[in-house]
Amino acid sequence: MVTDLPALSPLATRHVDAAGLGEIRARLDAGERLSFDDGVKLFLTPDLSALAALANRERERRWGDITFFNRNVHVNATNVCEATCIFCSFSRLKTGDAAAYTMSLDEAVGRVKALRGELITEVHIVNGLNPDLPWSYYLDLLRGIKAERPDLHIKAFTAVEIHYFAEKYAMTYHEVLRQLIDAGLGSLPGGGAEIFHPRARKKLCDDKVDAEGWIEVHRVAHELGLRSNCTMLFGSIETIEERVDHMLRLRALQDETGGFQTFIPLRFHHENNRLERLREPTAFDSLRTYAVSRLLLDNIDHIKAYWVMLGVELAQLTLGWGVDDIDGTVREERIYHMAGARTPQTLGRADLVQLIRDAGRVPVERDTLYHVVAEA
Amino acid sequence: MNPTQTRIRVACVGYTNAWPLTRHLDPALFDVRPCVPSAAARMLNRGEADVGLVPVASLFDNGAKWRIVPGFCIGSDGDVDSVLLVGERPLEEWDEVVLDGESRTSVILAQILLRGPLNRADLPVRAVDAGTGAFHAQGRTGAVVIGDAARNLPDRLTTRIDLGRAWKDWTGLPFVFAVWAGRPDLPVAAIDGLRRAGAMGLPERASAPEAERTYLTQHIRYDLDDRALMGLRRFVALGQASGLLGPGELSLYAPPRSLPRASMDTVLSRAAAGDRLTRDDAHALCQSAPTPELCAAADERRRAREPRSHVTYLMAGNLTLSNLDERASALVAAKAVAAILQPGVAEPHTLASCEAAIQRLHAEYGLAVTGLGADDLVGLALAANTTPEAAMARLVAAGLDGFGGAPTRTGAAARPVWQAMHRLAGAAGLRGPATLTLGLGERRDQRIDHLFDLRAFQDEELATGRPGFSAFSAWTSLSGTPGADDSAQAWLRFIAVARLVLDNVPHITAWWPTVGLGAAQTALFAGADDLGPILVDEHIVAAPGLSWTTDPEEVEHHLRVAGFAPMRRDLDWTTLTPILDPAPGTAGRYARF
Repeated sequence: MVTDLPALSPLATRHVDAAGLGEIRARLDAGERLSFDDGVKLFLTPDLSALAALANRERERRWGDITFFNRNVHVNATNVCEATCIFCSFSRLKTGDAAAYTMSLDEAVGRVKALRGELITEVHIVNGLNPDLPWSYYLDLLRGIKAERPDLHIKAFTAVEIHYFAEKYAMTYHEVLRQLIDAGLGSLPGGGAEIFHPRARKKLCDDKVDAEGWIEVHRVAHELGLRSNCTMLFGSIETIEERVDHMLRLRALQDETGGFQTFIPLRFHHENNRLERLREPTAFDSLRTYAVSRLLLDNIDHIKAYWVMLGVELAQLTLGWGVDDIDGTVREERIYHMAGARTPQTLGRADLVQLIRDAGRVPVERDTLYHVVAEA
Repeated sequence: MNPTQTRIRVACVGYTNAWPLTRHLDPALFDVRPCVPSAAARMLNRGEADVGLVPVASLFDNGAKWRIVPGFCIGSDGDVDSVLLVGERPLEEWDEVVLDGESRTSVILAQILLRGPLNRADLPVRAVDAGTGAFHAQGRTGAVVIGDAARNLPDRLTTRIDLGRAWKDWTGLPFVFAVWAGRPDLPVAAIDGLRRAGAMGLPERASAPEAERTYLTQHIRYDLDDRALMGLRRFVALGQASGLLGPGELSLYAPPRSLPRASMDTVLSRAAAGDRLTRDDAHALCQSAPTPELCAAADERRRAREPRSHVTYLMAGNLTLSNLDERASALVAAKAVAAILQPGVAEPHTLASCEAAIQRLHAEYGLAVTGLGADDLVGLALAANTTPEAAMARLVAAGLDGFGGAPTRTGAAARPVWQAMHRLAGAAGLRGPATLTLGLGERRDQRIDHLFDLRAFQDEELATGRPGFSAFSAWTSLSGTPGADDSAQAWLRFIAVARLVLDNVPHITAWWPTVGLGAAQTALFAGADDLGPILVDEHIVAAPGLSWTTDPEEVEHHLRVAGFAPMRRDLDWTTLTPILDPAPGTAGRYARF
């Protein structure tokens, strides 16, 4: 789908150059890859429309006006979690705590069953690191969903969970993934990446799998033929340099495997966790992060905005800053809502289509692997 | 389509159930090539056809590299009448099933149902020649029969299981037997042509001969809608899981990837350079200019007027007559410099009560008073049985410091009113913003026209030495009306167009309570240089689901991290007070915002 890079208009060129981005523009014009320093420089550019001009060109070169969305169901089967991530409302929840829950298999499959009449194409499953469940729980969960809805693609378990399974149930990543694939796993979501750099990671989530482990899980998944997504938690305690470092680590693995489909910057939320005193990232910070990721991650097809975190208004604006995919009609969203996201829990399909059209874009309903599912 | 271009080659079956989709294929566009169902996929694979009415099972012969045309299919939603499992004895007594080779999709459906709800996974199956199923169905041998053979069965075949019905009972979904599928680069005109043919052909089922009519209108289901797509996806998943279908993924044709857009380079360059825009320019920009460039052009105009990188806002909030003291105290506590008087629609108010309110706000609270709009002034004068001139004189005498804030309305009928009232205010030396609410049913072009009304009025005012509008401000209505075109994106673009059109209005205010502070922060890169009054009573403009704050620190933070120095202003921008950063040096460097 990638076409030749169109030249920027004279106005955009002047504007970008006036923002001090002339060299970077020239490098992009020549089809050259951006460096670490370029990434930092882009982040420190106090000019949102210059960033938009550059990022939008890359976006439109890949996808034109097409903006993807999908209809899926989210299942968070348990929020019990051993990890102590300071940005997370589920941190250190134990079975029996007032806010803790673990769904029975029937209950979890029931979430899918309840949507029998809807054209969803994907189940998205992310859980806490629950020390009280047997390995068979996860395999049976996948099998149960497949038996109920064989047509659904199951995108499940972050690299953090895969790593936890490997340690807890004494298997290699390869063995864990192999068994999950046999039970119905279709791809991996991109969560748990947070910030790779050890300085920030130590502060954010010291007992979680480290960067090398996260990358290795995805490498093994890609080798087994799974596609996956990747994320970055931005706007907490990390520096600009650490954001750029994070993106470049993902770019390096993508050079190796080509298995990532989509990069999803996740905006930090501060309610109900231990970072309550930290300000949340503003729209400016969000938009520049989307734009810079579109420019740096030249080998990843899609940049996705998750409207549940951003709010509908900002999510719509991201479509001009490099984003080509809006995470869709989400149901049963628990993780962000416990952290105080104020957006409505679901957006109807028609609302999402309208939001995309209002932004002057072309909505396309996709499945997990970006096949066109239905007319928008 | 250009007649010199090659026509699209269509592989089509001649079955009864296909004609509603095929009889109106435009011969100028399509070269129709009749074939049996299994041949349609073969012709596609060999490059002998560009698109065809393809049995679903055949889509997976080569890894499903074909795309599916949205809109129509050949399916069922219950009894299909023409795809049956038949036998002389009940299903439980069968010891084999023969599969008629004429339709592989039906054969696979039969196998999936035997393994599933029919509970005969144990039955051996045997392929037989096309069209011979009914002949083989004897004794303990059952058969899949399809098409006309299925609709004219001998009486001895007393077991008849309708596979469309069995599928529906099991899954609750329609079944899809065939779809239009073709090469991935099929022209859009061909896709449209196939859909048009279906739209024309389907109503004609009503005038089909009696025997066909029931079948075509009650058994065959032609819509490839969500439910049909779910049925299709379920069938493919089950077929692939049991190894009956080859690998591959379903994919429909995507719409054209780009919306048509005229090049705006020339207009944008002129706009950015500060040339006065014509109405046509502005309509074209609003319609077609890419958002980043529209913002960039507006940003250049903003910088040309105001080279310093600060953004102003007003420590002021709204109040009504009924909550005057409570709100005024709160405003004073928040270090407000001004109050925006909004006599409520629902509360009784008179010219006298407004005069008293203004005097009280001055004397008791030390607040400057602005607010009231053209419609307010007309109403107050009418109720007081006096002229707007006299009413204005009384308000000025009471100490009114500014005028406007209530939205001006678009259109020719409203124009003379707001013009006259703002002229009166100007003559009294009062300034204020011109404002507009987006999404009250006005069209996009009417909004643009309104900007030109404002610009012409401003020209006149300035030429006669009156002060004119100090700023322009737009906000969205939160009406939630479908098609209101008042999304954050529409608002942002309108702010940019306003900066470009209103070359004689000093400031553009991104007033954010209805679009969110984030969208307003973005608008600072699209021509806006002011955030307006920030101490707003949220009961008046509650925006569900939006981040809301009246906390000046939060507003200042939004400005600093975006690279702007926060500057508090008064009503007229005559005094600007910089607000120092409590933690200098952090903004911009670390992501700690």
